[in-house]
Amino acid sequence: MRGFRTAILVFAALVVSSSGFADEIQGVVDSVDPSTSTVVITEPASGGRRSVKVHPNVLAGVQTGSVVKASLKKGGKEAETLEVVVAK
Amino acid sequence: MPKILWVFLAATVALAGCASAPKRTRTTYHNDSGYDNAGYNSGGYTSSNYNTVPAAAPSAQSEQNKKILKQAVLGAATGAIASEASGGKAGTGALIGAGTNVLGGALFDMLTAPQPPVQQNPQYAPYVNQWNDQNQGKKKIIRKYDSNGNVVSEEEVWQ
Repeated sequence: MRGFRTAILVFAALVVSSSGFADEIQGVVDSVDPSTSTVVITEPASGGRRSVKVHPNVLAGVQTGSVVKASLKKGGKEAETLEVVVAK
Repeated sequence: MPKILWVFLAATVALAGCASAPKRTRTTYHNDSGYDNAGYNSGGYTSSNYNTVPAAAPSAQSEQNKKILKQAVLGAATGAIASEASGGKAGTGALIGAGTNVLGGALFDMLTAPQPPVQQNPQYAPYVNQWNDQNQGKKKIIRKYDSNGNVVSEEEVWQ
């Protein structure tokens, strides 16, 4: 019984700690909106589209069709880092 | 007189062993006009006029045959003279001389024939480089930005 309780606690701790991890989005840029400095990324795995706010300086290196990977800040839609494949 | 007959016989035997050079002919076809000989256009199914002309250059085989014949005659004469001078039979000497000369000449030709040039191995390096250029992984440059829009890193990745 005690072991079972410990297991539940460990599981809960894992869930809580994982929620603090930065979210990552990897996919293809579907559209770029310079006015709001956001890019819409389509994730090939799920097919979902997510909007990510990036720094305006980044927009110059991002265009529709670019392959990107963004790691988001906690609890937001702003990119902490953005990796862009600029050449193939 | 019998000596001359034996020499002639030896030369004849040597001649019989030599294959004659084949006569080659070359057939050429001419039909440039699209019309047959009668002047009718038969819609592409014309009977082409063709000429048969002899081949121009003598083959190497005939040259080789001439060479063997010459060796046989010279060998027969030498054998007959040598045999007669040593008191033997001229005819036998002529035959042995002809055969020896032909075999010796063939052996000599075989040993002294120019060696074919050593075949160079094909150079694969250009093809390998070309193949690598075409099939190597494509280069990707991954540029990483931080939250302030600064380029943090830029790395090349080969896939």
